[in-house]
Amino acid sequence: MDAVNGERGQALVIAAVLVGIGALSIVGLRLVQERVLANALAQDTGEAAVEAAAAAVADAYARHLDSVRAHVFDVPRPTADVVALLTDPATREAARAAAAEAAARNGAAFDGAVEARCAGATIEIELHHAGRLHRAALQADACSPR
Amino acid sequence: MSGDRGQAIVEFALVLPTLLVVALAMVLVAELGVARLALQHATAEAARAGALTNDDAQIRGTLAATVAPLASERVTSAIAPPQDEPPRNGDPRGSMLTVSASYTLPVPLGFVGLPRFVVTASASRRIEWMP
Repeated sequence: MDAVNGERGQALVIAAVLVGIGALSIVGLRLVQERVLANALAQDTGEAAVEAAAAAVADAYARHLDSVRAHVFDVPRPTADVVALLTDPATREAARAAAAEAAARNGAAFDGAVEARCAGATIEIELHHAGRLHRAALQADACSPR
Repeated sequence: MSGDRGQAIVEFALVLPTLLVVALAMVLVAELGVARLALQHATAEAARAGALTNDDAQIRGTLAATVAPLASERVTSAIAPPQDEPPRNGDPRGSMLTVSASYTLPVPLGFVGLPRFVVTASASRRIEWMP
């Protein structure tokens, strides 16, 4: 009789264990999801920031070319100096501000630096956000040595 | 001895609803995660399309095309600023465009009064398009 009585509630115990496993699974699933989503958001934010920075650099580059063209008949004739443009604090600040605004609009903060340099016939722009490197490039023929 | 007969069945019948609720909750949590990721990806792609085209039709088309595996007809979207308002109706290059979307998760047994889950996401991009 004792042995039979001991079987009472076994289904309840198993059910309680299953419910516990289920609850733990739900919590674990939620935690993993939060991490995956946070990673995806950080990736998107970094991309938005570097795209914005690249667009700001492209604007500065276009203005620089316009300025050179406007003085094409000057003596001596001016030439496009993209390296100087990219190291100009105003250009760097414009790129950084654009990246910061894009990051802020996507719910994150960006307070790092934006690097821009000539690489062949392109301008490469890169920044670090949330531990990741994000890069963009734009065609800039004036970059290539002649 | 005869009083114990069928006890396990009775106990199982008692806890079965709880087990079903837990199983349903697991499915819902997984569905929510998929929906959040898909919607985030879709809004980012749509905002990028908007940054390049400044065209609401392109933005909504991109959103619908990239929101898979979610049903695009369950997705509602908003674009700010609107296409017919400044700065987008002039020269918007350099300004920001935000695409927001929400998705109502279909809940099994929703007819018994289970709450509806609405997933939202948004993404912003700097407009690169020039008139």
